[in-house]
Amino acid sequence: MGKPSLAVWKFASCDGCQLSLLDLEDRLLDIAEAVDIAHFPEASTAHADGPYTVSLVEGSITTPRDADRIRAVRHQSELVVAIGACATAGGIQALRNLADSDEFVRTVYATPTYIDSLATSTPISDHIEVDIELRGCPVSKIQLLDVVGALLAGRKPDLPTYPVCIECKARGVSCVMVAGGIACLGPITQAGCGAICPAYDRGCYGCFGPAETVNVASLAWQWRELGIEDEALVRSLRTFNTAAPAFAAASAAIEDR
Amino acid sequence: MDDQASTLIPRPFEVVAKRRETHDVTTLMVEPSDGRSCFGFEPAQMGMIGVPGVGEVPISFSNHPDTSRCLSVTIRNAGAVTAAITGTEVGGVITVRGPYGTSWPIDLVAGRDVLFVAGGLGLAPLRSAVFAVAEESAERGSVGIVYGAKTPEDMLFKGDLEIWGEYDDVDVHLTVDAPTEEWTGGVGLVTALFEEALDSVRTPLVMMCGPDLMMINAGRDLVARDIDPSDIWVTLERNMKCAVGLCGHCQLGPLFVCKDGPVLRYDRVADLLEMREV
Amino acid sequence: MSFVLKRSELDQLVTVLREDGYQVYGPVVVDRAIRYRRIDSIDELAIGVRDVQGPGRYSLVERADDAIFGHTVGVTSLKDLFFPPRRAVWTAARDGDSYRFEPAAPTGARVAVIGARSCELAAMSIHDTVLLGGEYVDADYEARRKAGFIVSIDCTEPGEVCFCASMGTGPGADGGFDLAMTELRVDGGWEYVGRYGTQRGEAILERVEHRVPDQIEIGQARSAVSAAAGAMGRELTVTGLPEFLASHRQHPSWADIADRCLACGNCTQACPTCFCVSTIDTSSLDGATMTHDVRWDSCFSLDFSFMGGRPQRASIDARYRQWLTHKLSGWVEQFGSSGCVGCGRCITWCPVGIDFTAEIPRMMERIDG
Repeated sequence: MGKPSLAVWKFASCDGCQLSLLDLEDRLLDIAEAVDIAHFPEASTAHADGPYTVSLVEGSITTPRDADRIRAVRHQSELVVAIGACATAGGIQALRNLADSDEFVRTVYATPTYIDSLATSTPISDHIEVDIELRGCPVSKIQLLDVVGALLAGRKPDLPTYPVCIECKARGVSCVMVAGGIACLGPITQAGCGAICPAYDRGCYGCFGPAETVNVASLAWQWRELGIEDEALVRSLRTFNTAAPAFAAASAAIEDR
Repeated sequence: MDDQASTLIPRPFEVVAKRRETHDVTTLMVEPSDGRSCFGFEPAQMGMIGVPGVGEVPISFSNHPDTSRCLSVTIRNAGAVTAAITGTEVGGVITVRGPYGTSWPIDLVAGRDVLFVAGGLGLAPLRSAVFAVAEESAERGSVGIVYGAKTPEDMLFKGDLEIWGEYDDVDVHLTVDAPTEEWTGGVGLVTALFEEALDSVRTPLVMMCGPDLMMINAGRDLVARDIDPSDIWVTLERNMKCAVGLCGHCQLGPLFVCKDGPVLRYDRVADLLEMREV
Repeated sequence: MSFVLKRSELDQLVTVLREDGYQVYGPVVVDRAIRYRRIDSIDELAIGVRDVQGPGRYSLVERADDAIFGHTVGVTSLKDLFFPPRRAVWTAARDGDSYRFEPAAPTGARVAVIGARSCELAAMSIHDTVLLGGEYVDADYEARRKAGFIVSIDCTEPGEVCFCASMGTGPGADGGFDLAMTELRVDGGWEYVGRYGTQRGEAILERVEHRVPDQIEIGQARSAVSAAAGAMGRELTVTGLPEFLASHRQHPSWADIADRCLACGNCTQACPTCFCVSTIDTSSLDGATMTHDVRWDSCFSLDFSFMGGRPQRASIDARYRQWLTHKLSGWVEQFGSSGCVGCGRCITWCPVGIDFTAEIPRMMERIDG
């Protein structure tokens, strides 16, 4: 039995998640031992044709050409792992979903006819079947490594869907909302980052997207108690995961209040 | 390392035989491969069965309890861990630790009629008890076995069911939700067979295992037929990570299903089972 | 049997413990709150600081004096030290077609804590029952417990969310310590009027300069603690409570609480007695070695009750009910005591300030009225 093969694909994104993979440094060598890295443009110009055992897909779908390309990736891949907020929720560029993207194009580009983009930025799962989603902007390299290990071992990767608060408490971090009155999306944001921002005395800004349970009405009430306007919460929800269904619904619900 | 701590460390067991029961259920027969002897168990007791690097799941042993050499586990392929276990070929190694939990009240069988009620995969934890009661117990009364599955193809242990039906004073009653053309048994819920089953077993001791909803309905039905709730025993399934009362996952009200169960008297759990999301 | 230490002698105690190989922990201000942290000297402790706690609120203010222990419990508890958030249970290595298992080596760390509160000792005693009192024991916890050394400090200034007096767990420590002390202001200085809990405690204190207190000092310490018992910020009527909760699983108040509950699990993680864990399996990329760890879990997570393709407790009200009913009711049946020690952490560290000492009387009224 040959080594499994791994391909990394880029769609509309900043490449930050691919960099997380490169950030694994010495562990990347272990990965290269365990799998053939067949396609990874951020790391190498070498390319091997499919089929691939695993495809890691970074970025969202924003052009008709990419909508075709992602289907080709699916056809060549046994397993597809969407990595990062762009690939799992449409990313920050999904803000266009709430606006008139044609107007953006007319305003920004001198020759708009060269631009062939879709009106929306959508997650990979809107276009093809996705086997595993890794949240975050960028993804956690620990989770990334665990996913590769889990796929090789036939294990369900350790991707808890509970909120960031669980990781905060495990680190012994005092809650920035309770002790600092700081706006924090941690209670409604999925864990996985290791509570980086609260550990640096900042509120969570929700880059891992919605947790399994999102009680935004209660969070909004508490933010108001802390003197933070609803408008700020709507803006917080409309960042990296603006189009994630639970955040989109939450921001719309608060706006409708 | 003391004995108690050591029982939380899994032991390697070699798969010595494998039998496909249905399209998604497999029975593995396993023997210790660490040079130590196999442990004994009481019917319905569980083991944590696993594959290192993948995980562990709680499974009741399904073999004849007197088998001293090896153990059987009957497993539905429902996730990564069960896929890794059932995907292990003969000669391969899985892990087992146990036995854990309570067992069927075999000691109450003397002088009693017994009714076994099983739904789907629920026949697996009952199989060892049927062996112990139907085959072994000279003092038992009549035995009824009521077994329901989704389709005839989903029935487990078809060979056993035939053999059990040929024993003296043992009646086997089968039902499915969706019959095939050749199907000659009943159609519908297990409760539809209670009337005919209770013709040959009188005020029986009941041992029941199946999905929660089946046990809720069957329990209600049996009580309505004047069976004393304290004569009904059920075995429950819950999420378990440790099986020894340390992880907290399997709680049902004040009960730890792993150590207070999996076999519990119906009157102790009926209210909790009936309630939403306990 | 009792003793008195001056502040400098308290520092000697830290030195002696360190000489004996203990990692000494005490309450330290870290970022915006007090938590246990490793110290080399008592100078690092949260001196001259008072915590102000309330539902979903926590702040630190300067005290008028320089008391070392003039605050209540911090965000972390003894749980973080003796039952850490993640630890290994076993490792395995491939051995031909089979595996070779190694139980995780018990920690070599010997932890000494200065400034543990009586509610925390009660919580640890509950953990002893849960994790060591049954047929199967948590070997890691057992090793840490056996190696640990506890210096407790009686509470003389309870906080707004404290209700240890209701739970019978404080404000003074009855047991579970090696040494216990009351911090007293005497003639402009500080004295630590103490008592021995174990022979090990006595042996350590023999190596620290100290004197024997007079009856007046012992009396002062006692009355400071008994005054504290009357100054609790919260109370909870526990008589009949386990039965009430067990028989009101369908109460409409659960849904009302669920409107506010974020299901974030902060209460369970901050609680010094919550012991639920999940298991984490990992493997090296080459498949040669595997590990099996446990990690704190929460009954507020959906995965916690996952079975047969879905969570058994999907709604927030079912999850909140599970937590509170287990803590205050089921626990009594399972382990012979309440699972609550009245420390108030679940009230303070709930981001939306849900306070069950207020919710429960409301639930009871709703039935009566």
